[in-house]
Amino acid sequence: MSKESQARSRRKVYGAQMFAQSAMACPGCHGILSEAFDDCPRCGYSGRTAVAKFPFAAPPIERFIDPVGYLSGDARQKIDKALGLLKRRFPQVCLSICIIDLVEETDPREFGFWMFNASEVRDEEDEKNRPWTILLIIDDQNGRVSVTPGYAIEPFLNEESWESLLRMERKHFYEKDYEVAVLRFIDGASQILKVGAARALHRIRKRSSRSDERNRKGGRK
Amino acid sequence: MIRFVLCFLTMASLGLASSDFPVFEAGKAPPGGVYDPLEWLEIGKREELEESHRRALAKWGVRIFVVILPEKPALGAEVFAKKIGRNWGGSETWGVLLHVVGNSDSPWCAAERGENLRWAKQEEFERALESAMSRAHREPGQDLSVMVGARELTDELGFLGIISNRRNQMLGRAREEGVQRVGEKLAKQTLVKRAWMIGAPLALILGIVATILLRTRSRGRMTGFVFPETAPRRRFHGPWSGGGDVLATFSDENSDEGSWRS
Repeated sequence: MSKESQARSRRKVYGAQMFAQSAMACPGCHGILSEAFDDCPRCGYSGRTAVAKFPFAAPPIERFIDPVGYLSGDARQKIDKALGLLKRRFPQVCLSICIIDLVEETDPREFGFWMFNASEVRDEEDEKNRPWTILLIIDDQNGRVSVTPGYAIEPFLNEESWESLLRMERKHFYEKDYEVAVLRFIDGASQILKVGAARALHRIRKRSSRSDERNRKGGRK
Repeated sequence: MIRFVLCFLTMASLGLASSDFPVFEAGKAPPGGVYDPLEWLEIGKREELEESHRRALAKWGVRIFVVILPEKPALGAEVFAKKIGRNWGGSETWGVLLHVVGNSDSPWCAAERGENLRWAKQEEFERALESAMSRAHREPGQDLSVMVGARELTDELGFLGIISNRRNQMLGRAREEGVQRVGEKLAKQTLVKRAWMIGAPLALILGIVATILLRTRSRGRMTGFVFPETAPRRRFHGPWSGGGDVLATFSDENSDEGSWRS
């Protein structure tokens, strides 16, 4: 066992439910789920459905997925810098920006789910980062934007905050000023992550103080 | 033989008199400050002068002598008066009024500033003597000249003594103030030094603490926040993500359709 994996095994793993701020939803029918199902109990949706719907190889999850080239080199540099700062504040978190033209029938949320899972994991680094990745999908063709988080970061994020952020930056997305839109999105993401981090810390402290109390009571008995 | 002896004694006494009176030069000062072997002054006036001299000595510490001689000393009146003054008054403040009976230039005077008039200016001192003598010479009679001259000399020296005393006090006060000012300045400097001695290390310590705190904080910021690990809520056979439910549509710039959830 490598040192890193030893350290990982020593690290405490909490239940996601302890921090979860938003309900789980089905990428197919968007119904709210009470627990994690392999197949949606409402519509039967699963990963297989997604793969069948998109019968082609998913692109690798990189910092920029922009096959058409909506972002200029200069814009990418600026976004890279902003993402570097975000990484410094939240070293686990990765943000991937995908600007693509989808057909109208394709829901960006479902596309995000498919891409996230179908995209091949290239190396150990990618394997480590993937659960902490937040995928921003911008559908240029239809003027839609969606946010898909990985399992590890998902419990700490509030979906309503993402929606508020996107609503606030509506103008830049509408004008297809993706450089400004993405930069402002990163700024907002930093705030959302900060709130999530503070909440997580609060929960952990609360839980540890409760368990301390319980231990003390047990000791008295 | 007896006649010869008497003649010799007479000659000797005359010789003494004409050799600038060495007897009283070396001897003690007369008790009331009046030397009048000829008893030329009336007794009342002599007493008056003696009383005035006693008062001057008591009040201002000035010794006044009045010397009445039958003839002008060979040394010169003023030089002789000075000699007498030094013999009788020493280094103290004194004034001598010398009168030669029958001499129209009489009286003369000499004086010494001494310790009492240390702070009186030389010009003021000389002016005071001149003024006393000019007033004395203005009097019609010789005895009046002597009386007025002695009184004026006493007053002038006394007055100068007061002025000198005041100056001395003022100088003393000024010195005290100066000393006080210097003391205050030194105290202030000491205070500033102390403040520096305490303040500088304190500021240094505070600076170091602030730097450490800032560095710790910035390092904290640099290191960033590490989210706790959670057991993934795997669903829909997705290995990395269960999808998200955030979708925003931007069909027009201002529509509130900006964001919706199904």
